[in-house]
Amino acid sequence: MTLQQILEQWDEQKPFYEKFTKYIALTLDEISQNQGILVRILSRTKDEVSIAKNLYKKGVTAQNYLDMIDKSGARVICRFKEDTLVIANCIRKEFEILKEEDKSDILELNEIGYKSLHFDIRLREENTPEEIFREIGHISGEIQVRTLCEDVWAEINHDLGYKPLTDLSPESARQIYCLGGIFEIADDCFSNINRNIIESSILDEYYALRILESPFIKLVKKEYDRELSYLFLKILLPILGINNPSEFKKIIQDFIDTNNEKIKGILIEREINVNYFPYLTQPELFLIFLLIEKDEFTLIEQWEKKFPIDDLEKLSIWWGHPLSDILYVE
Amino acid sequence: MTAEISNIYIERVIIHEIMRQKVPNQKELPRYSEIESSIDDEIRNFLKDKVVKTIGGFRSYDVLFDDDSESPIPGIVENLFSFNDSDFIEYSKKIAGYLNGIQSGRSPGGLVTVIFGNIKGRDIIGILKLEKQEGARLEQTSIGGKSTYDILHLKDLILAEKTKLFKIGMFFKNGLEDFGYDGKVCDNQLSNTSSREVAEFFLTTFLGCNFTSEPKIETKKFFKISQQFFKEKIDDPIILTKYNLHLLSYITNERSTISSRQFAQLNLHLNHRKEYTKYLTEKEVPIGEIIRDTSLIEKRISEMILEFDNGIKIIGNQEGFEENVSLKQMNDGRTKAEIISKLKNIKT
Repeated sequence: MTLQQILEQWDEQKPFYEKFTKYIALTLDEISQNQGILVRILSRTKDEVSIAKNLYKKGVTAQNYLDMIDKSGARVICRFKEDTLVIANCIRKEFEILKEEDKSDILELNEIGYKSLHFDIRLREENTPEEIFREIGHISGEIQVRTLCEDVWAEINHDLGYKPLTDLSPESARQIYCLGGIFEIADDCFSNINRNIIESSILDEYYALRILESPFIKLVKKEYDRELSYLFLKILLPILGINNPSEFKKIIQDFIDTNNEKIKGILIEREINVNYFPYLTQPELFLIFLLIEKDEFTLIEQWEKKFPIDDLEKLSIWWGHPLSDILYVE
Repeated sequence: MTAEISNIYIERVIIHEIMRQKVPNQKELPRYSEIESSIDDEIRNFLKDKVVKTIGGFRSYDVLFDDDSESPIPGIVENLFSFNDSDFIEYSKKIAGYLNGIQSGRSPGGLVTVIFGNIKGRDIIGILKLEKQEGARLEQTSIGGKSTYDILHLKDLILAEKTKLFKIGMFFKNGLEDFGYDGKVCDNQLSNTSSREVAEFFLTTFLGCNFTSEPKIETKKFFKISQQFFKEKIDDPIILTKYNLHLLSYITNERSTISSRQFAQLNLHLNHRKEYTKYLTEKEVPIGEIIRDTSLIEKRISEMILEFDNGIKIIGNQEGFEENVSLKQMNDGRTKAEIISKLKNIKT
């Protein structure tokens, strides 16, 4: 086959690959949200130029075209190493795995280099709507899972264009290896910090936010403003009157489990208010609802020191426990 | 049911305009809508919030249809619960027509809005009355040759600062069987003594309802259980006296409604409010507003007695205590009382 013939074939197949790429990106997004994990997802379908260039590197043959698994590709970038493992497990359950590779396995103990989890996948029939599977069930693609640090290292390294690393001058190679080491240490440090917060024996805003964040991602599926969260939590957290982190975790989990449908209903119904009512896209929303039920008097007392009281009234109405009668008494 | 009102879903809304009857014996007819008003998500949420804030809040009262009432509303509501599409409009017109017919010249014109919806699948009917400002004219619009009112008129009227008068009755299908009441009514005139008569017109004459509970019994319960809470939970004699005085002052005030939540918010220390409202709820004192009727406790609220360990008693009314008696806690646990007044009489 000539390049022209291959590209003509690609032109016919590309719309299906584009659908496939979109579908896996959406599925990955859903998977991570369901786990309550914040990730960044990048996805792309190769364009003609990229197909052509790839074939130039490997040889313009029909087989090389067929073997090109990353015609459709997606990347999941996680904040913490432990998150990559959770996402990887979900990928294994969701998709049919044609090939799995942990690039760090290739590295020797004393070697630093590209680290990422690679999956060659196809859609699993039982997990895919019939109509979609009929259309793109035969297509395969590549999913990469890595941490933010691994991504930065891989991207810079890719841009520098050194492949393989052994082609580098000894001085540049040493610097690249050093950087790899730094990023690996950074990954470990971030994981440790995360673990320290989660396993903390002190109930502070950082711990509270980590507990509230996971259900927030699951239910709200949006980014939020951390600084605003800390500001809220500084005021709201003491109202609960507890110091024990595990007690806090249990109270929040029980509250969200019990009121899951109600919270979902409010979020759907108030979607139109999202742009001008910041509370809806903040994880502390759950804590506000909890406090409206648990200790309305102290909540009012603390709230009015810092935030508009009308906002609290609105939230209390949405929650179905209007505070109007005690917010404006004279 | 109150907590579940936040799940209300408003399906249909129709608005009619009723008139001020300026000339006796010459009724000005209402202006009816021939079709329902269209509602989008924003207005649906707006109406929902208004309903939750009033009916779902602590300012609503449980009501029962009065079998002896001459009002046709109980029957209409019953029929509406088994309506078909055209009946909703016709019945809503009957509701507005009835109110228009019984209004006196003193009552201003306004909008009567009938809502049909559901709360977790249970059908509900809401009847709202909003008074409009004198002289304000509401324009009808025509859709497909049929006249109606734009729902924004309703929104504007609700939002208008001068519109303080908002009355709503909400009725639940099979409410009596399941909750022990047919519906809930909220009327901001109820908390105003001078407007009480007007408010009762909406509740009894128009809606054909009565309160489920006797205000005088609920008032007595509120008073007695509050005193019981202070006695059981407050150790500090100074605070105890202060709270009792606040209670007397609150219940003898000219307000026409009382509420444990409001009393707590106004008069108790923050650390006592939650415990107090919880205590009263456990003792089945209504958590929301109560129509103040002190007829069963007149004697009790006319005076307060401070009784000391040594047998000395100070007796006086609430005002006298507030103005002339001061108490001070001493280090040995005793209380020092000081009365500043002119000695008038000595009885043995």
